Amino acid sequence: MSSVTLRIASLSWRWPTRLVVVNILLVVVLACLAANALLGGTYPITFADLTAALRGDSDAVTRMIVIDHRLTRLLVAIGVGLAFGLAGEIVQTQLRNPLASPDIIGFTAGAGVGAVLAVLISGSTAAILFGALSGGTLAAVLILGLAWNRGIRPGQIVLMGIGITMTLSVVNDLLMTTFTVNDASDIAKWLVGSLDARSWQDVTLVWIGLLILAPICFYAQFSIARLALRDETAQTLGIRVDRTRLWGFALAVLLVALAVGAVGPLPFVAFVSGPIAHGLTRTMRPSLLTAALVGALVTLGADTAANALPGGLSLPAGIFTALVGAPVLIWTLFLQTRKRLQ
Amino acid sequence: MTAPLSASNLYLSYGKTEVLKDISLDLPKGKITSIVGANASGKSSLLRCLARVLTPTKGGVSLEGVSITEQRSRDVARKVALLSQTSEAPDAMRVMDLVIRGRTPHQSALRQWSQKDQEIVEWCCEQVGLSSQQNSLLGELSGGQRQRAWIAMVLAQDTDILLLDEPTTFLDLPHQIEILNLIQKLQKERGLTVAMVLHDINLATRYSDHIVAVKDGGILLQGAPEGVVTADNMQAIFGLDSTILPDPVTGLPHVIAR
Repeated sequence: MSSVTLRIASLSWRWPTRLVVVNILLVVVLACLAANALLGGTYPITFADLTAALRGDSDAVTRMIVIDHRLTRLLVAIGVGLAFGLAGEIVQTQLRNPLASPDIIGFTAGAGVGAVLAVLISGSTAAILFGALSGGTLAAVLILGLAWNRGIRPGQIVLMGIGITMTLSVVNDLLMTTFTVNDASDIAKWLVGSLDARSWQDVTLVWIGLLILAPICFYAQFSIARLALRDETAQTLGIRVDRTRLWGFALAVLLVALAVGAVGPLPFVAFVSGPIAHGLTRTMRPSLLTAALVGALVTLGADTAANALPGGLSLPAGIFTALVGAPVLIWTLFLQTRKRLQ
Repeated sequence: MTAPLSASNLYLSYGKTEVLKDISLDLPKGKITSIVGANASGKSSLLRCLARVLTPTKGGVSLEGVSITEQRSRDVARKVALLSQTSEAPDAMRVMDLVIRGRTPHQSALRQWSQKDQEIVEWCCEQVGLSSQQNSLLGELSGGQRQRAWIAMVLAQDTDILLLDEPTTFLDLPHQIEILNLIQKLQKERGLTVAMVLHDINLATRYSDHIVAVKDGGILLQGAPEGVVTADNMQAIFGLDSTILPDPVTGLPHVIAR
């Protein structure tokens, strides 16, 4: 297990070599998928068309397809993937349990219900992000409040969170009955998680949010990483355990709400990113960058698959993230129960 | 001279159960203190209060004369290290990862691996004899090696005070002696103040300058091993009927149960 050391003046870091290599490879694969998303598809676009459109001197049709259709979709997919990946890795690490991911313990469901309510009340989609933020925050506060027992107890949060997720899905079903058939069908598609018809407004919101939140996440990674040990050990090393956890939850809720606001509660991306990332790096948790890149790859991959169906059929990307996520969930449950039985 | 770490009129209770009652204790500077007592007598809780992991219900702990709760976690972590009794680590953790964690109070998000960190971490691995296993997964090590890796982690914290909660549990006798010899050697070389909870009264006698006997949450008696380890005291502390013989190796009192 060799490592790479970086020292600049009084700043210094150390990374396992394998982690660095995996990150570089992930970026390369992501770039290939991105190129495919821009150039592939039913309407043929050449590399020259693409650069012309990006420079702003191409015909209107090419411009519309490349800039307003494919590029927005691509940037939203990558952005929400990074956000889900970061959020999942933070929460799973600090609760030391892969089941404790925002989409399983109710943060994502909360943001989803919040967004649906916002649409219902305001009658427009403008308030979706606000609804997702409020819903996600409320769900998180509820879960933490119920599980709080002289500090944050990881095991209790998972159970409480699963309960909240189930409750919220019932609330969603209830809300659906109040929409007209047409609206309900749109909302249903959104609730699965879809990247259809994203606008530049979605791109801007997601990426501005990421530019603010991601640096904070990377800064907090130092403290969050210490929570991979027992609370008591982290505490004797000078980490303020509950404070670090609250920061981690806050970051995760904001990231999830940002992503849900843009594409709906895309299932399992937050959940699978960390485990896949650590399967590749074989280092200890957390590696926020690797998990974020895996999140982006899974999301973009799912959306690519959803659009490449035979017969011009197009499905919401969420169906494909669920196809990846469900087996990982079952495998994780299997491993955990087996570990406990031993 | 103020004691490096002391407790004054300390009480601790969980709900209605009183675990510690009116404990006042000064750890002698630059010495090894062992805390002994029967199971559930409160010795671990006392150590954990001293380490600031548990907050006393009443009374307080002071570190270098200043109340420990009024100091920043990070500052305390630079002065006091605790080796916990149960030390689980994530599956993918390697010896190096663990020992580096010990540097936490001296690091920050932007300064995670200074030259000094590297030197200290390598020195610690060498001291505990794990230099060649630095890259091994903790799960691949034997119990004794794993315990030494954890000791390397607390050493890397570079503190003057070391608190060890049963550093020899789950180890066979040769490994117990090995760990205690190591602790004694490091303590002498670096003038550390050490307090440890030990189950084995004979090992405590052999390795400590000072013994604190805890019973039912209070300090029953304390002093040099020669004074504490008597047949009457063994009866009082553990309810053990025993004969005391001089240890043929060290000349110190040795407890033989009847």
